[in-house]
Amino acid sequence: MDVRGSLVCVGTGMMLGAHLGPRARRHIEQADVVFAAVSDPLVELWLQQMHPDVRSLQPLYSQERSRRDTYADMVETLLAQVRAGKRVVGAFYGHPGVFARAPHVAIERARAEGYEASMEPGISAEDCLYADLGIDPGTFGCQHYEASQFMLFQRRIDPSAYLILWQVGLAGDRSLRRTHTTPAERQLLVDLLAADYPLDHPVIAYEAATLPITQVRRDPLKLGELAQARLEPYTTLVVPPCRPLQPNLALREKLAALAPQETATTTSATVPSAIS
Amino acid sequence: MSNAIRFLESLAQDPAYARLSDAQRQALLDQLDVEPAQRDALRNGDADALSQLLGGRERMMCLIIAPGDDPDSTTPSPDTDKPDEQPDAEPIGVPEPERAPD
Repeated sequence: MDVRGSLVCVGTGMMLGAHLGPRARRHIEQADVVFAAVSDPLVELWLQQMHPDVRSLQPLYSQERSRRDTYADMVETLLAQVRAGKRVVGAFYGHPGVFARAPHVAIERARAEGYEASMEPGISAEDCLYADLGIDPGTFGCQHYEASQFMLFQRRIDPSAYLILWQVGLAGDRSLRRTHTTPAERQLLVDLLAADYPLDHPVIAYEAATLPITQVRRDPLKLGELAQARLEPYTTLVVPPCRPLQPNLALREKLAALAPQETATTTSATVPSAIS
Repeated sequence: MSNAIRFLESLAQDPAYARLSDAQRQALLDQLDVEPAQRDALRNGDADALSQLLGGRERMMCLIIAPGDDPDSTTPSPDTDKPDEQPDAEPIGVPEPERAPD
């Protein structure tokens, strides 16, 4: 009998019942123990009814401690059961590897210790965003940043592509203890963006639906209104392009020189005309 | 599985439910074997009330990434000899690309 522990981090998707893939579900059902990090209490109850030993990771959060410590404890909690020879599943909402550091670290460490470890993808908030807002990231390009990271580090914004800022309700938080930041802190984000976008530029506050009885949030705002808007920890800011795609004429010439038979064509580029 | 949770699961898995009229949805809820208060919560789309009735956790955190990066995933900047040792301090140097929330 194989008593080696193992770890699989699975994504539950965003909506209860709608997004859990069959492989992820089988992993949950066949595990010895399931640890859950999900965003909705009803989703947690749903998981608990899928397996007799589902343990919530929610008690690891506290306003008294940095979330970085919470994430480290998540990793240790998963690994302790792997080392004890259990088949462990970490069930994370959305995609377990998208804007989720602990599953990556847990898998890396489990493998380094000689255990079998893998990730099973799920439907992420990003996936829902593209469907709910009718955005194809391939049309103009799409840049994604965690909002505070975007503020704390030097970034080169391309205003001809979409800009998506995650955890915008926490923009500017350096304590890793809070769930909301102040309008003054968010105003610094607005000021930063105002270098590339006009203050009346239309943006969207987006929240995916986590239950079939709740609604998607897609509130249109002006960029200049962002600091005073209702923003939750799970709100995402979508900033559409404000400039058309700029042809790279120099590179086109170089390409043309490599293929002299071809006739260079310039496709027209537009900015999105409507914000849903 | 609680009937209310099973109902939510069914709603989510069958897009036909989304096309039901209010009367059809009401008829479906009337047939559901749940306590009246749970039925009211489902009818009103009141997830908080339903969670409370079913014993759900009162407070949920949905954050599973920290801004910046892990202290051990940074490269020291040229003007420092050692990586930042303060766990909550601003990370120094070039961050490892973050995995793109939830």
